[in-house]
Amino acid sequence: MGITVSKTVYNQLKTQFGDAIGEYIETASPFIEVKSESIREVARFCKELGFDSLMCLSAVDTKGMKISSSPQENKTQKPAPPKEEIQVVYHLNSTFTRDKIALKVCLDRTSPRLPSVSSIWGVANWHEREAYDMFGVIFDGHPALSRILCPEDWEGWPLRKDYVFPERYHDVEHKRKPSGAEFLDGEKKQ
Amino acid sequence: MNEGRIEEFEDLLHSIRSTSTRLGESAVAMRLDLMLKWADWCISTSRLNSLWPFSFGLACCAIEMMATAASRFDMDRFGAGVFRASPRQADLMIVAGTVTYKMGERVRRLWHQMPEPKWVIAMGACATNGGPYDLNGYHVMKGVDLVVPVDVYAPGCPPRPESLLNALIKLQDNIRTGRDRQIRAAWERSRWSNNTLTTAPLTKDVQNN
Repeated sequence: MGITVSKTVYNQLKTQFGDAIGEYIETASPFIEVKSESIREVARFCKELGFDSLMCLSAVDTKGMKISSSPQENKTQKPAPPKEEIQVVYHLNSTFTRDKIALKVCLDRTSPRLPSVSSIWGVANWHEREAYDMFGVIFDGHPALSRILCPEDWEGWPLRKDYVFPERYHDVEHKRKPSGAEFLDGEKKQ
Repeated sequence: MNEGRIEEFEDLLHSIRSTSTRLGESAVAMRLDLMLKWADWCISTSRLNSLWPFSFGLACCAIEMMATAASRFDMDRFGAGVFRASPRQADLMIVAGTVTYKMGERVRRLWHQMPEPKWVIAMGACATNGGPYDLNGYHVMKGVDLVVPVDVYAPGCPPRPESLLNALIKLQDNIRTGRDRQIRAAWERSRWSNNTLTTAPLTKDVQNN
């Protein structure tokens, strides 16, 4: 069962928030695009609509992303390559109506920043920390935004497409040199 | 025999031997030597037949470790079936799985919490040298021997229970012959024992936990 955006939910959001909600796009996995400033209000409204469960909060880096055209689309008209941005995606589920929607916020790659929704769904706390850890998205109003997976003194945002792998962590080399020789030498001498 | 197992008696042995040879009583020294060797044998045999592993799994290798401990392969046949939940009660650390840099610090801390004598088995490709994360695992430590001295490496991804049992038997052989002390000393001489992950004070989040 994929994500389906029911037209009624979309219309409710559109009448409530107007310009903050993007166009309704019919794709294989539909989503509602939301402006970053109003994501908290939209999220609160969605929760009042009955979307009580935030299934997933994750981020996407669209740098260098290629779109494969679906068979339904017109083959002659090539889709434009997506803008280079960081998207934060919210998958919501209603345990009452079994309805699922996806919200998407597009952010600037240089300084991604948007309001936190951890006060609305408690589960967003760790998910936002993970998005911060992997993509460097800063969530305003998060109670304790710190790295959750990488060590605290880690540098860079590992899941960004332009991430350069570190050569060492502290003084442990990332590429192991084949010079465990001194270890083996001690054995051979004995 | 297990040479150098009881260093504290070595000096005593030498002094007695020199005295007794001066007195022309080499038979006494020989008997003492035999007695110490016998005590040595007793101690190492007891140790190698009651290795208590630390129940400590990091990734999928831990599933195979559990299978090794379960009834079909039954690690308890070799006296190593008593998995302890505390490092204070364990002799053997089986590093079963991928060691990330963040976990590496914790592995080192747990190893320090184990009482001497202690041994380490690196189980699987990840714990041996990074394994499948060798090229593209930015977060994976390339071998747990960068932070703790490893006695035996068990190859495989993950190793079958037979392989882990083989590593255990190999470790028992090492303890029997005293080779484990040579390995430990060689590791402590090597540059691996001197990196900052091994020697630096623990970072803030480790101290808080």
